[in-house]
Amino acid sequence: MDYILFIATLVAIYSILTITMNILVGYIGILYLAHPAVYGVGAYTFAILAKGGTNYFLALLAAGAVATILGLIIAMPTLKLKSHYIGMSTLGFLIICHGLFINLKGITRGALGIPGIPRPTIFGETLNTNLSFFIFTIIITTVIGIILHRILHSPFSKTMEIIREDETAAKTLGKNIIKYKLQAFMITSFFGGIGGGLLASLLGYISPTNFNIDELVLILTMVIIGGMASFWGSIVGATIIILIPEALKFLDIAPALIGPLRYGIYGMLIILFMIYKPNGILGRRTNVFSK
Amino acid sequence: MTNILEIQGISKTFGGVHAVEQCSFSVKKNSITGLIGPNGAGKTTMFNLISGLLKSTEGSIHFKDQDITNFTAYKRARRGLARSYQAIRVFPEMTALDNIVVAFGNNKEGLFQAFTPFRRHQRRLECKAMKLLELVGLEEKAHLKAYELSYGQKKLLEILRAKANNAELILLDEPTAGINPTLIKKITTLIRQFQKEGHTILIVEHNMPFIMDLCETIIVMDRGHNIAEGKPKDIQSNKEVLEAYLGKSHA
Ligand SMILES: Nc1ncnc2c1ncn2[C@@H]1O[C@H](COP(=O)(O)OP(=O)(O)O)[C@@H](O)[C@H]1O
Ligand SMILES: [Mg+2]
Repeated sequence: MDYILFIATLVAIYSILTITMNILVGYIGILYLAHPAVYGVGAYTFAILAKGGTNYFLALLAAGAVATILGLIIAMPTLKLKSHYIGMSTLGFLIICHGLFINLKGITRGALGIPGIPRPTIFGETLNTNLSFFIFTIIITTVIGIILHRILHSPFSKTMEIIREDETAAKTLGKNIIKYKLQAFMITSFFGGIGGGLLASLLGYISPTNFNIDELVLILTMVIIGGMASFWGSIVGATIIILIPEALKFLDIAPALIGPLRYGIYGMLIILFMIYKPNGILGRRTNVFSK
Repeated sequence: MTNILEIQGISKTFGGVHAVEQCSFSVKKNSITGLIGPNGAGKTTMFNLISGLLKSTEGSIHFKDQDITNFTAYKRARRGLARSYQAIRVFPEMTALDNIVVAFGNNKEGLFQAFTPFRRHQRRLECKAMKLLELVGLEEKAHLKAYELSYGQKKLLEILRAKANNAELILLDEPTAGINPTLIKKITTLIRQFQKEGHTILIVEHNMPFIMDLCETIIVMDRGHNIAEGKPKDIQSNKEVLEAYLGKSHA
């Protein structure tokens, strides 16, 4: 039961990470591959501040703010580049940031990672049980979910989608493309950074391996099989992908094989969905990978 | 009558190709003006220069008495300039209705407006968009995705979208190309109605009966230059124009 609550909390947090990635990739159509770097910076910011005694909620907000700064830096070259070059440039940022997580030992403790990241304390009670932290996370992720749902079902979101569909036509209809792209990056990185902070708090320990290319594969699989430009699809995608390794545990497979098998399955899922169901489970047909 | 658009000595070169060279002309407010010329004359390039998708190598563009030469495309659109494309550019995954709704200038599309009540305003815009679709009998297609429409219906949709964009000057690049005569009639009626409502229309076309019937003034381009300008009947008998279309030996 306790373990199920842990997994449910993980699903809630990854839903936020997936929706925020979907905003850039699915809605506005930017081949953004740096998300683990962005929520990773959020996770580290939160971990360091919360361990240092900063108020839990302030530390979460700071995680969002610092991630937003990184998000805007990553955004800059994408404004000038086209599709696959954007993929290369954002992937470059992921690799650089991962390198910094390893090498800035004075801040991140390098490969040793940061242990003992606290859980919140509310009315003098520290939420150390999985049940109490689950309830806490559900409340916060629901609030974020409501905000994102509102944004993604508004005229703002329709304008993001026409920019994905045809940037030139959107421009000659008077849409300020740069403003929309920067705002999309801000939403993605701010709420992604908070998601990273919650993840750090759930795990209690983070290290650079939490924010590498494997993580990108994980989130990208969630976005693609859930569906591009779909709020609910992202939640479905995150749920399925989190549950796959849990399901593997019930099969009679050597534990050493489960790790590689997991990523093999994610890769297969991406390929199968790309070929047979490019819209994902609930998403839209888009041109993001083909333009 | 005053001019809504004034092009002065504008040029555009691509590498060594002089697509538009020292072109000057003006468009009268509330007129229907034609821009014709053989293939490769530089008409589409001229539209790209006017709408701001391309930057001119020299010359200036004035729109509503303001120098817009250095304005980006979206700023020109906001000043009241809209266009359709020779190669269709509808938003394929949006419904026909949404293709028009997103074009209305005031549709509460700001990020923070997402947290204000926008639904009623959206309904109103949807009604306005529906009225536009009704003008050309597309109301039953309103909820189809744009990619599901026929070629001609997509072209109509693009024209309506330009109109919805609150445009004072509408640029139409070959609106009748590849379209059946029934739809061409609809387009003619539509353009006349836009003029009655105060819009100015500049049309690039190869369909001579269509353009001669519709336009008050016709500008002729050939190999990047504007070589003639006048009333349709004068253009039809202009020696340089005939040369441009038929080659020197025939004229
Ligand atoms: N983006 C471009 N790059 C290079 N050459 C171009 C480009 N666009 C147009 N041209 C050239 O400019 C000339 C004018 O083209 P265009 O404006 O499309 O003519 P029209 O619309 O009158 O048929 C042609 O010779 C064309 O090949
Ligand atoms: Mg052309």
